[in-house]
Amino acid sequence: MLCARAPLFLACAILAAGEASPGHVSAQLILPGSAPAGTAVDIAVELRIEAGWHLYWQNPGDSGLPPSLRWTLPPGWRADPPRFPAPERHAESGMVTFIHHQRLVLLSTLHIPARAEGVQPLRVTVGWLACKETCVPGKADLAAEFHIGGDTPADPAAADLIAAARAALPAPDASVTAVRDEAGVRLHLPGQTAAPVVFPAVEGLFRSDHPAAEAAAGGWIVHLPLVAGAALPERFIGVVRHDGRAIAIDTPIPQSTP
Amino acid sequence: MNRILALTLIISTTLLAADPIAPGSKAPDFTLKDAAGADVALSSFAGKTVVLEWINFDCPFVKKHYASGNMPKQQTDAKAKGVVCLTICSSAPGKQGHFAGEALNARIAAEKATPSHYLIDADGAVGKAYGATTTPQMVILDGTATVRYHGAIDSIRSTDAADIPKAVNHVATALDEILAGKPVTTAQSKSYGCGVKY
Repeated sequence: MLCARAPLFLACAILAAGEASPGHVSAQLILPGSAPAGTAVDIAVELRIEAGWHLYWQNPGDSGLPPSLRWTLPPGWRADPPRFPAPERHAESGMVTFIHHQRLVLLSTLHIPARAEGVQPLRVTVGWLACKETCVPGKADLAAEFHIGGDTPADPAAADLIAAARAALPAPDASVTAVRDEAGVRLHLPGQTAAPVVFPAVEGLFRSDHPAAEAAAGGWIVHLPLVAGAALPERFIGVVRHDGRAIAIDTPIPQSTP
Repeated sequence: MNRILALTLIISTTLLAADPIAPGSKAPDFTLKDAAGADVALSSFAGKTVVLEWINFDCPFVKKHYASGNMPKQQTDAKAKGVVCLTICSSAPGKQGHFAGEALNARIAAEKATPSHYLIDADGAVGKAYGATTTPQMVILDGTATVRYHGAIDSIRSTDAADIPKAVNHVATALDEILAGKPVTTAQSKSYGCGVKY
């Protein structure tokens, strides 16, 4: 039915072969239509999540498992690790996890080799853990055909979805600074009106149940204690939600206490 | 140089205080009922190496290690070397993973679980005292009830049993080192799994 409406056989291929919905989640591989050889384009895996259930962010927090993408690509093709939108903080039974509700779009950059031509099959096995008090693992094998060159018109709906997902990614923000403190790291987040929520991107370094942000002159301070046994990294990499938007932080942690 | 050392000591002390069972610390004693209804005290195993395992049979991460036979084999192997294996369930009654009575014994048999004791921590007090957050979660104590390992069962966080042969089994490695009188190379790791259903 959707195929009949779609202007392109490409969209048919996506819908016919690229969709699966076991375990409270449906997964779809979204390609932007076509692209020339020797370029890089964003492609997406869209995960629609049953109401009440959740999936996990790249750093799941105290428990859980992030979705995984295992690509099977033509020789010479390469897909970068997925980029996640900002998660939500979820506290339950004394544990803090970083999760996604309703819908999660994972963006990967696809690198097309210079000599690529014709129509090429792309395959991805998507694995996830969906939880709602209890957890159910799920998996989907998705496939779609990618058209090399500019003669195939782009798929506008897919391109819009990918563009929207890109726009929803946390935007880099250099105003946040980090210093070492007695238990880990202290972040200073200037110029924000509402209390920020911090999500460390790398798993297992900082405690997920860190203290709430404290108001400070011109912004907020967040203390992030290290997980027992973890070594202080050279940089703090993470995402912050505040004032209705999400920013990406990647800032050095000076190794000597000022 | 001295300042750096002092700072390191401060950080270490802080971290020890934050983690009730950091490697090197003394494990809290406890007494729990086992699946047969008998009282089992940790202190009764003085002199023996003890493996604690947090469990919820219905958690997919636990299923990975039971359906594959990995955990039962680890229990059998460890017991053959004189190690005591205590499986602890901190699921609250009514929550996933809580079993009692005949249903529990049937489930233990069905899963081919072979711990020394399956212990019921229905109020979660022991799980919380040990900072157990996930199932599975593993703790190894030496004969003096000193924590020698705390964390994940192995190095690959997944629900896929196909990953087990590819993973480094931190528990088996640490047990071999402890039984050989060596220091434990990896004494701590981040456990992976479902949240404990307190």
